[in-house]
Amino acid sequence: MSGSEEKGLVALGAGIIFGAVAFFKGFKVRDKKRLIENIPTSTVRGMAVGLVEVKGKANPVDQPLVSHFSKAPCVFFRYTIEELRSSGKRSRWVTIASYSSSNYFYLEDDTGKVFVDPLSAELHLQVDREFSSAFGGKAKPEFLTGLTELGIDPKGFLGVKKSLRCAETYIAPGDLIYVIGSACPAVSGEFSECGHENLCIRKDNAPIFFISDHSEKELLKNLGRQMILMLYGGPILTVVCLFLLIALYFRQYL
Amino acid sequence: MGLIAFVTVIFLVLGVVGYFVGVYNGLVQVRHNVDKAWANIDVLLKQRHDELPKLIDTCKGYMKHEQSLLENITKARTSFLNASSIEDKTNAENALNKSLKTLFAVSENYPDLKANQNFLQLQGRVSGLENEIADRREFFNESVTIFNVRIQQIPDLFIANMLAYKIRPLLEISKEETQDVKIQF
Repeated sequence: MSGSEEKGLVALGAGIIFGAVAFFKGFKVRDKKRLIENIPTSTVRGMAVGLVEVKGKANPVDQPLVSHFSKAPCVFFRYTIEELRSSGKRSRWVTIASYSSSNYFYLEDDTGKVFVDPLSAELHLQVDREFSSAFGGKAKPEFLTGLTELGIDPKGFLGVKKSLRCAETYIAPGDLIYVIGSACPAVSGEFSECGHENLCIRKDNAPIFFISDHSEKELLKNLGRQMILMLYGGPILTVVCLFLLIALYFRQYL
Repeated sequence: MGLIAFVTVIFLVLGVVGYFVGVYNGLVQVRHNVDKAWANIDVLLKQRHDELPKLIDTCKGYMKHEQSLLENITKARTSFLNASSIEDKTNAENALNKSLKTLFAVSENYPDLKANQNFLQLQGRVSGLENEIADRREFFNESVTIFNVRIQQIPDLFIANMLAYKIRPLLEISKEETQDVKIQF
């Protein structure tokens, strides 16, 4: 058996397993989608302890944060820095640094405001800024400053620029957000008394904890697409890979 | 080829079983959502009922000529405490809301009462709870609507019939409650 055939066999085996895993994970995505569909949106004032879905404007508890690269005022930010690394003929993007802010913020609607603890949240946020630096290209000064602050040298061996890219996402004060998570009593003494009922939405034991700047409809549409792809695509991939594997085996040995 | 057919059949069977398990779990979840939404209203109703004796005691000293109004509130409170079904509780609540609206409107005629800190505090508390109840009532109705729609849709309908799930009534506000309170001097 040649090297390429061996690689083909491994790829087909991986395809079979990947398809089966995708199929089972598809059910989890379906459950998540149904859960969101089944929970009506509540107002902050009408919220009770337990799984809740709320929509409103994001506002800082105290002073707004400043996003690392864009230096934009925000209540939450996240960034991921990746570097293009090569081994032989192949090259791939490797995450070299990532960060998500964990400061509490308020979600405010017409009836009141509630704390949101973004720790461990599944984020569905639109990327606000993208930066890159590559050999021969000119990187934005704020990107280079941000990298230096993190102790990442944009230059590599012999002073040649590294191929780096960064995606930054942030929630600005006043941005409309959609949150679904567990409403729990905020730990007393941790905050001032200004939050309505002093509740806090966090991961806790909730089966899902989403923070999104997309609407619920868009979120459901994305989950629906993901679900169909996994539930139908998974078995198709497994069966096709299995068919090819058998065909390869027969060609080889019979 | 037999193996491929076998795997395909396995996926089909798992898909069908998984689909119905999902539908069943979804129905159980929406039913619990409705029960929880009602329980969340009930908590606030009880909190409000706990405030009523204090409110009546405060008003008694000032509103000597409004005995029937205060009695109506007490009666509505008693009928709420005796009610067991959602419908009975809703009716008692509607009657109580009407009486409370009248009480707060009539209190305008009693400047001494209006200046009483205790009354103002209780009025604020009761009104605050009322707003929360109104929000939760809306949430309850949305939960019931989701439940009612789900149990009437195919294929959920078949499983809902097996589970003997019936359409749940919405909480409706009485006509009197939506009207403005008439104050007679």
